Amino acid sequence: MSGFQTGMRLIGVDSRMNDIFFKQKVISKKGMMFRAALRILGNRADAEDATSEAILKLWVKRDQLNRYENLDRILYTVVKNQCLDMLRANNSFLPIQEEFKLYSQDTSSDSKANERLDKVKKIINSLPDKQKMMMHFRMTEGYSMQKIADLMNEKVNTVEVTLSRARKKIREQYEKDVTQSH
Amino acid sequence: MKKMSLNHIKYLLDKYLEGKTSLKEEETLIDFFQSGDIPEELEQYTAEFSHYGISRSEEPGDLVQDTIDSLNLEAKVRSNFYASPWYRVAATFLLVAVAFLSGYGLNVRNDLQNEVHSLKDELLDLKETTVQVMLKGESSHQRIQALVIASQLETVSEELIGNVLATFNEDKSPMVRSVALEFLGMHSQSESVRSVLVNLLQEQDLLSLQIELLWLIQESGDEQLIEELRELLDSTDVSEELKEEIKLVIQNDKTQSI
Repeated sequence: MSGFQTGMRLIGVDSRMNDIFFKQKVISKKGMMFRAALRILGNRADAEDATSEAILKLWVKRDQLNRYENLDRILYTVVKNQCLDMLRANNSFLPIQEEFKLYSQDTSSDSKANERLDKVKKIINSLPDKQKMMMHFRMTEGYSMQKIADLMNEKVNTVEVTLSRARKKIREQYEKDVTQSH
Repeated sequence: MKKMSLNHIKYLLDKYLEGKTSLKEEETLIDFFQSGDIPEELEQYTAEFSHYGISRSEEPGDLVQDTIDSLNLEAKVRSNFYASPWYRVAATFLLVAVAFLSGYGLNVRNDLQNEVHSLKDELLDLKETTVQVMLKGESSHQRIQALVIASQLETVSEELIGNVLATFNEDKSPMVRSVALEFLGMHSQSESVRSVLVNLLQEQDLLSLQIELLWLIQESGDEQLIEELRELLDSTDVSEELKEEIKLVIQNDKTQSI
């Protein structure tokens, strides 16, 4: 093979590495992206749409992805923006309701327990966005304070304080709801 | 005993409210409230922690999987396009044109110092390109030479690292793979190498190279990598011999940390 031919072959080598990188670093995080979308949009169907759209957008940009140090933050930002676009596009959006329906169809036969779960879910959904997403990353994804701070561009201390505030609010509101219903 | 653990849960609940619990302690709370046997005085917290437990198992469905599958298809079509000779001719022409024009532009605009600097960069680029071309050479001797030159480069691009990773995985000569591993060892601090070390272990089919790779992981002393190794022990895709070697590395790592 001549040097010229070998040189030709080089073109396109890079794109294969990017495909591998994409599989390892982006597709493996589809669950994280989906759950974040679910938290923002409130129902599975739209969350799947948003996750798929986000994956397609990231795929188009895959050649640039390995430049980012904090890739998870990029993934979260892309999926979050996709969700916000969807919310904006659909004015009649009712985020919480459908998820509740799915929730109540859960295999558990204890309707009282389901009712309480719905109550908690409603309270968490009504938290301010920052509190809601920090609680999500901590309690659902099990991320460290540092990782949440990096993802959401905040200080570690702010994460701690915000989580504490959210937890107190959830507990207070839940106790209030329970006493009211009695 | 029961009472003590109950007190412990109460203590954790207070700590949790203040945002001071560790991930492990939060895990304990979720597990406790999902266990079913909750004393009445703590009943009110069950719903909240059960909710977190349930939310952890939410996974995307078919739509997302279909999207991912369609990407693989696109990749195949695309690679066929890139392989066509016309694409190569067009791309090469473009490369030469851009190189010529940018070189011309630099000569006109930049002062001498910048020119020396850019010449250095160009020389480095040239060396790297040579390495890349040789790396694709037909003879294994040529590919080894490429890797030796690559090891002498002061700075290397992500692209070169990517190509050496591919060589280590796929080259038909074990010797070339072994030299590729040496290069990767020199760059094991680079995130793009470090993050795929354990993956490489699974893709590599030669036990001798797997062992060399394990040493590299051990040398790095990276906790996360050791943790990933531990997970491999449960995988059915990993051969028994490799599992034995992994156990040794994990054991060694423990003794060192004590």
